[in-house]
Amino acid sequence: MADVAISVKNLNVGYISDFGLLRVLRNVSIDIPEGKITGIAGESGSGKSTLATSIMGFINPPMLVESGSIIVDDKYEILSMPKDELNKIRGKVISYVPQAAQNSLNPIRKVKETFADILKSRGMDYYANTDIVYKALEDVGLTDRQVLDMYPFQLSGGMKQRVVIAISLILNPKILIMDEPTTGLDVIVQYEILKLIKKLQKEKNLTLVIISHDIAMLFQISDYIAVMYGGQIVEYGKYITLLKESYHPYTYLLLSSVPTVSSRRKKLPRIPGDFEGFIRYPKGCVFSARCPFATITCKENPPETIVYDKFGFYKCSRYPQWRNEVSKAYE
Amino acid sequence: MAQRKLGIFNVNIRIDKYGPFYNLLQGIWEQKVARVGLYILLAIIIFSLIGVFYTPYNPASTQFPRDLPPSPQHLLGTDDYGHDIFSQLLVGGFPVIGVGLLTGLIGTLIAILVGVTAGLYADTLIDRILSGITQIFLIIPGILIIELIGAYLGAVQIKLGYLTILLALSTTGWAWGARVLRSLVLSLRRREYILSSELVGESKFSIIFRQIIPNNLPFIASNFFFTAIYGITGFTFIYYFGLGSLTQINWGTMLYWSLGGEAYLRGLWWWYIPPGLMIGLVAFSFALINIGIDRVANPRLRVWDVKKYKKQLEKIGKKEEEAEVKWQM
Amino acid sequence: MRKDYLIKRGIYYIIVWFVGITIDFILPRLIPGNVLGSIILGRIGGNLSAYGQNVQQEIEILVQQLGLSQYYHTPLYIQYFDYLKEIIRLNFGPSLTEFPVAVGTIIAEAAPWTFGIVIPAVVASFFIGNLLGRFAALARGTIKDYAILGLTMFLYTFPVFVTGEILIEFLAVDLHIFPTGGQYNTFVFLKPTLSLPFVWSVIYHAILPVSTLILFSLAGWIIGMRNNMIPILQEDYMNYYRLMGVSEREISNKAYRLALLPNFTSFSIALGYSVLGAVAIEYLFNYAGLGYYFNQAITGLDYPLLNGIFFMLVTAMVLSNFVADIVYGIIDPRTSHEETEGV
Repeated sequence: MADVAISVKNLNVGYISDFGLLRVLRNVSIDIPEGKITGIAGESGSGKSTLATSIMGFINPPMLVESGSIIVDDKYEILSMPKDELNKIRGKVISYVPQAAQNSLNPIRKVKETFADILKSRGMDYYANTDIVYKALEDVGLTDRQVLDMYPFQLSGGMKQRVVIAISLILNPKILIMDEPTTGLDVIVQYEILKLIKKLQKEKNLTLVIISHDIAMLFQISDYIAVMYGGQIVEYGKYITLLKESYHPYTYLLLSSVPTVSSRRKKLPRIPGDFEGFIRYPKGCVFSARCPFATITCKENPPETIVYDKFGFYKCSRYPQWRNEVSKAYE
Repeated sequence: MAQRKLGIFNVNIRIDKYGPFYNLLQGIWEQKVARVGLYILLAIIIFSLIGVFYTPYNPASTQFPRDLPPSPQHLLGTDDYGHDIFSQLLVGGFPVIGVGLLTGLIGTLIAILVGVTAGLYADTLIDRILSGITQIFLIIPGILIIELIGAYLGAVQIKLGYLTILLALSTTGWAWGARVLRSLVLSLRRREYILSSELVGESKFSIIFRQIIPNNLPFIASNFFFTAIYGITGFTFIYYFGLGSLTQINWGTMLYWSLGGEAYLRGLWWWYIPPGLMIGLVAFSFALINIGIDRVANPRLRVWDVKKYKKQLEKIGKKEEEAEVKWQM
Repeated sequence: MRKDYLIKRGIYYIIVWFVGITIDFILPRLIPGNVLGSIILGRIGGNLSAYGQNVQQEIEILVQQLGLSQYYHTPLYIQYFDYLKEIIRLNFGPSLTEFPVAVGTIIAEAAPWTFGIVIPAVVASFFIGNLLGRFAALARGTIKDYAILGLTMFLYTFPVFVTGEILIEFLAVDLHIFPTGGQYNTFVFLKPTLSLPFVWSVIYHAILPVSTLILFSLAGWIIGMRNNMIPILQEDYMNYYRLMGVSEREISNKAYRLALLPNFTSFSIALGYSVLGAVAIEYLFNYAGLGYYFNQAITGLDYPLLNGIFFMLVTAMVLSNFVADIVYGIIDPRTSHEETEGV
């Protein structure tokens, strides 16, 4: 059994608004396995990006951590580390590729200058370490070193994404978190980036956490998948498990909405409604308002977390009953 | 603009005439900075209003003993000529405030006129002429020209009265607003809905009132106060250099007399500090309101309420230092 | 491409400059009626002994300078050319309040004093103001931020001469820390000499005027820097730096440098406006710079002097704007790379 790279326990994160404290992450616990690719799937607003930035310790006012603990690499208690210690491990132990990476490159600095900025903050001189930079570029498939002398606006979307991945890997981190790495890229470039990610993970034995709303993409690449909804992880497990026998209705519905060859004739199921938002949080199960299998009990009482494995759990009180109702709902 | 059916007629109801304007006012009101400015301005106006009906003594009367420091009988003492300064302060406000606000109004109107026209007719002869004039007024300071005029008029014993000052200030203080408005209009034009309005044949006049001005209300409001500050500063400058009419009492004349009487060398601080303070406060209130407008218009400049944040932190039991540490955001 | 830009802007500013000078030409000629009589009356009403003795010469000077048409029969356009001819050679004739000293001489003597207080003031307020603005940006929303903003804005909107008067009364008169005015200690030095004690005396006498100007102009830099820096701090790429472990200190340094750039353009314009500020306070401090004589010209109806100083001031403003344009052109080419939109 693999070791735990990131251990999140009972994390509650919220932010202070005019309405008081709004909880964005509610009692989230998950163990991310080492050396594997874990995908975190969810709609916009499900809290997945917040989870990612919380793991990096990047929680700024008006956000705050209400309670919980995050342990990275078995030694770093993220939530109680002071700022300068956090900065030391950022990039070196655990690194981050942000969403919309194209905007994360400083537009008025050449690529090599951005590299230099990061290296300088570690006390490393750019020109003394060009070999590392060249290797990083090669790793991401950018063989033409002219890229270094260019400004971000001169590069295509795919190239920018590769550059950002290269920067994030330059200090050889053990863990890499990628937020929507393929969103906004055209399909062919998406495929190439995915291939690149898989290759890098194998070569460096990285622990990879990929966040995306594109569940189909996650299934192509992840070993483990966590599904988030409304600030909670409703299901987590090996991708095979989720694919073949998802324990949570939401997972099942998400997967069913992806067109496959075999479902060509059938009508695709819809998930009615929208998430109401964090202000009026539902009393019972977070998904109960939209779940086609929800009962009164579901809406009144939050479900227990049923853990069946070190890296597997789900939160539904009606499993396996709802499975029998599937055919009734969708045929 | 909405259309409602009233019987068999189609009535145009100007719902959005109030929309953007009202939203702007509401937004400004929510900014604490602007509210403080508003309060200060109101306080001064009320102060001057009182002066219309009541002053402890006749402000023009010189019967009092000279150079008295503040005392219960004379709250702000007396000056070199025997005037009671407090009474003078009470009546001296309205000209300053009035000229300031009116300069803001007229100056902004001129800026809109010139700037929007230049923007709509961009790259034509009209635009070149208007932009040229704008640039000239931008580079050569208005106050300089006003002083020159004042100097020449001084030869024929003409001093500048309120109306003249108002005219002089408003015709010199519009340039910056016009310049910015022109570029605002240009960027607005590039957006398609203006283009489609023009294509449909909507009159330029209507475009101005229904699209351009509502979209740029924050800037126009900000320009109003900015020009008003210029009006007050200009007013003060003109009087200080002795070009203003001395027949009336206002804060500017008080400064002029105190300068001549070398009040600052003789320790008569009660003579020049009160009018200076009042003038400063009026302009300051305008500036505060302006900061509020800035924050409404540019959301990135908005700062969240630190005190409220800390209070709510305490409510859920967190300590302050945690917030302090992560402050740089 | 830069050469074109320079030439175009240069020509443009020359035109503006001409307009400014022409305004000074036109204005006196707009005054109708028996102006000469009023002017002479206005002046002799003052101190006879000062300029009464050369009334005839004075009349001639005024007639020529102001183009009083009843007495001066040359057509307008010839007057204009004469006027331009003299101005180019900086010949404004003798000053009337300081007769027979030439206006040019007065200006030559006075200008260094004005620049002597304006330049240090603008440089100092640039440095202090930008640093304070950085501080305010980083502490935004806190009391420190409001305190800085409030204080400096108040100093800006407060009439600059009253600020000066307050400084004089409390620091010079009451506490005797600084002198009440003058450019140097006239009891000790009868005229400027190149000696250390003299230089020290000049600096000593300049402290209050310079401080007044600094207090007045801080707000502009602070607000500018603060408003520049706050959006920069929130940019995506700054967040990326933070996520990659760059310390907040380094981030604020980077943001500061970025925000500083546009302020360099305003530097020269600030110089121009500070000259106007100096005009306001020189009289107060008995500081014989351009402003002092400007005041003297206005109150003494000394038109040749007025013309001369106005010319200097217009030139200063036009020049400072021109320099600002040049600086902007230098900073700007960074974005003049061919913009190829990322595919």
